[in-house]
Amino acid sequence: MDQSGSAAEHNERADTGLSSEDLERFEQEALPLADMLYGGALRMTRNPADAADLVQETFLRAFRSWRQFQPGTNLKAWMYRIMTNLYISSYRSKQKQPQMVSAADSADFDLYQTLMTHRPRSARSAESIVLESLGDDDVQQKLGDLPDDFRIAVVLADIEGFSYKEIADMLDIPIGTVMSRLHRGRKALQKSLWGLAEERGLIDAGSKK
Amino acid sequence: MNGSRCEELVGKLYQLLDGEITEGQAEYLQDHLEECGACLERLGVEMHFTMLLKARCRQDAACPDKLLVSIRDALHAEIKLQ
Repeated sequence: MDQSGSAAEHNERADTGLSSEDLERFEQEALPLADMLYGGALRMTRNPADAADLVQETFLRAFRSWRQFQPGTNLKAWMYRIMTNLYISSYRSKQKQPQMVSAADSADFDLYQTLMTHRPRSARSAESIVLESLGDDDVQQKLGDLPDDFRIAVVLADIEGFSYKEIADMLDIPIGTVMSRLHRGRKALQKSLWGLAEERGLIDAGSKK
Repeated sequence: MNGSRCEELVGKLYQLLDGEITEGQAEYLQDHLEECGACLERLGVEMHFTMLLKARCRQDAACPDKLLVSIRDALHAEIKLQ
């Protein structure tokens, strides 16, 4: 989202016919979502400067389309859809991809079985030891390392709390694809967090299955 | 432990966890969960993981004031353009 590009688009854009009443209503209804969108943008872009650009552009696009928003429907999902599309279409390609966790290798990761192997008497207590020893930064870092498609699915479902249908609409993909990305994203994240716990010596790597 | 019922549960685990399942399917899986401790524990592990993930990522950084001002300016500029 470089400035010259958005400025050019700005000048060429068709008259949207928006009035100051539209602006007032938009500010009242949409601006309170800024914190939530900024948090989501941080999780997508992984850095504050890019997140700020993404949020700014999201609000601008949303306002230009404001008359298309149907009052009474989910504004949060509508804004998120604009932001996600913007990120995917124009933003992601410019970003250096993070070091990839191979999601293909993680599809079969089974946290429950792995836990049982380590602490057969109680998978839950082993899980607590491992997962609760990892901090916010650890989890966010590993989430950030997931391939984009999987990360976006996990963020939208697990952190933002959107339904499969809402995510499918946002990303313009079938519900089955949402489910498979979510499945693989969760497995990949579990696997990499488990690996981190092993590196830290929270788990005895020697007894690994 | 009933192998095929366990497999069914594993296959639908995330849908059950996410509330993306019909009432009938949920009841069917619940019946199995009542008699299979391993599947119940598996469900618990996944639920716990999701809760933890949310807790570790949910503390939203507030949208910086500078950004809010910049958004407002851009929106007002949209109106003035017309």
